[in-house]
Amino acid sequence: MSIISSEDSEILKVSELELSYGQHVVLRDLNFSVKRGECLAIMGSSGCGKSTLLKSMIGLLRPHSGEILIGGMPLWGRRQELNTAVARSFGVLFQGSALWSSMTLLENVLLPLETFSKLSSRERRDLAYYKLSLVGLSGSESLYPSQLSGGMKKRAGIARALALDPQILFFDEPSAGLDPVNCQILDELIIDLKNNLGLTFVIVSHDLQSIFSISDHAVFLSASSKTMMEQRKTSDLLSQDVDPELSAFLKSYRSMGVSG
Amino acid sequence: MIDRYDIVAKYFYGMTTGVAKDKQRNFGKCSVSLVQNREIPCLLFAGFWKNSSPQKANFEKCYSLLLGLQDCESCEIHLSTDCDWDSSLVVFLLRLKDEMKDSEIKLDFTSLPPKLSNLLSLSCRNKPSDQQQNQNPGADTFKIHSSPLVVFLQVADYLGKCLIYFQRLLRGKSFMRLRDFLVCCRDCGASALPIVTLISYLTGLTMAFVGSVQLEKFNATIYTADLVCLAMVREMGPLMVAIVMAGRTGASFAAELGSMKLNEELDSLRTLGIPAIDFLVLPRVLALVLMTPMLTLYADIVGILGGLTVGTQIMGFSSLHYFEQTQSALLSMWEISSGLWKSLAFGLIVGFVGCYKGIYTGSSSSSLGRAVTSAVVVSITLVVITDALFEIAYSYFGLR
Repeated sequence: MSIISSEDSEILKVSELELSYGQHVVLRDLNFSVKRGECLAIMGSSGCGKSTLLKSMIGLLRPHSGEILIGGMPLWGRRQELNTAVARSFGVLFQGSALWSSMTLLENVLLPLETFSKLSSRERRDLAYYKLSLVGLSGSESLYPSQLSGGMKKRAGIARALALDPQILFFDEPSAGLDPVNCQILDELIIDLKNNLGLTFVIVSHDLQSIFSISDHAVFLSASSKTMMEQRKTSDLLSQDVDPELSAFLKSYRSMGVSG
Repeated sequence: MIDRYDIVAKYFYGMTTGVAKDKQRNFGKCSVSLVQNREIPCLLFAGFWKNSSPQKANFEKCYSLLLGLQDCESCEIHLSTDCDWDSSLVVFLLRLKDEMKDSEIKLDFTSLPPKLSNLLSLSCRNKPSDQQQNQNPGADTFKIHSSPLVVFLQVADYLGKCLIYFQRLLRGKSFMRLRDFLVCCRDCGASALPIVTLISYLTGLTMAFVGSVQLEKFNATIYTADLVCLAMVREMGPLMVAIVMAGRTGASFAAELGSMKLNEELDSLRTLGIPAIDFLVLPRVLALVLMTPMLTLYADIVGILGGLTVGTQIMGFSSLHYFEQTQSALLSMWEISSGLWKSLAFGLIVGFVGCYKGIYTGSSSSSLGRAVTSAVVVSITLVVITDALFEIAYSYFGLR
């Protein structure tokens, strides 16, 4: 049911994007793209506008100017209205998972299917069970979000984001509030999904360990210049000469003695 | 080598009487004294400089001591060896430093113990410069202005969207789920029966008591039945149910939708392309619009039964007599339906206001509290105003 054509290799393209709250410009001159099946990390220190950028890419914040193309289609129309058909072609995992608290896990995954698919009720249920099993939550279908641990909530959030078989998944701080073990489990899950389903990931995070283990490319947002540094391969971040601000950001990772 | 700080502290230790000599007696006291019999004057802090200290340090006194110094360029700050301190002393010293910034007397903090001087320098280092402060966007930048015009436009936008999605519902294109609607009907209808029963029964009972005392003067106590019946069906039934709905259901709508907004649940609906108004507001408002008149009809009956209890048990009428009198008071169905039309409007108001306050709540938990309070207050105010408008309209068109 995806509207994205499979030939187009650049699945997400952001050009000349400028974001602002009223008169206050948060970010400007943003240009980057992601190829199909790749994982892009958007990183930066707190308050640099990571979440604002994500909000505009998932259709929650109207950009001031510029363009966001998903599968070659603009997310925001000419009069800056949201193109809902394009919006439905991606899944989002929110920082706090944002599961609908009045519904069970199964109902959470079923809702997008019930709303947007023409499948029979049996097929929808099978699909929902399958998506929950993909993230390792078989047997927890009848639980409510309040009965889950932080890590399980994140995984349930991923299952719901996967419900409509999107081509691209946006993750907001996937490792926030998780212990190192659950963080690693989540990273492994993301790698599994990327390799097996061929999904494209855009991950907003400041967890360097996680960024270096799962992402192919990275974009660094600078709080001082209110724009982005050049898009680089994650593996080049540590080897190449980098900007002092990025270097300071990566310092803690370097000091851990882990190589990318 | 003996630390200079220790020598000075020991030297002054004997001079400050009544502060540290008797530790037991003076526990909890803090003192600051100015010692001037040296080349450079010195401010000596002693005693218990803690947040939990029962005695508060007098900053003004200390400040005036320093200003009273004459013919000197600097003043050393010392700490007595027995001085017990925490961040309250640090704050005191920082304030002193700040106040004396423009004075001719320079304060010398070098004799302080290393731990304290480190804390002082740490706080100075982390202070933003004036330039930095100017660069940071002020709180005003992100303030959502709540001028009457903005609120009016927001309300108009909300009501307009509700209307559009209602029209989509009629055309069968809505995202609203029947199950959500039925659950809302149960929550605001059947679950409210106990409280509606209690309140309307007691309202009918009270009116019967009050009315009978007055009507007894004219020897017309049987007209208590007319009074209770007409007051319930025309006025008290709809109004009482609306107030219960505002306090119970309207508040719960605001709290539920507001916390969904705080948990990004509304955002996750929006990213799926499911409008929150369609999916969440419509079932709630429609359930309330359907349930309020039904509860009102029920409240009318229970209120009349309350009057009947007083009529039969206190005034000694037979049940049949009371009912016949009640029946004669209701000249037409209009007496009942006029109240039901009102309650329909009240249900609409309570539902719209509760959901509006929930969806447009701020992003903090305190704003959620304000949203719930304001949902109840605004609903009840609007209900009373609408009630008055209905009565004026009924009278104007000769329907009363």
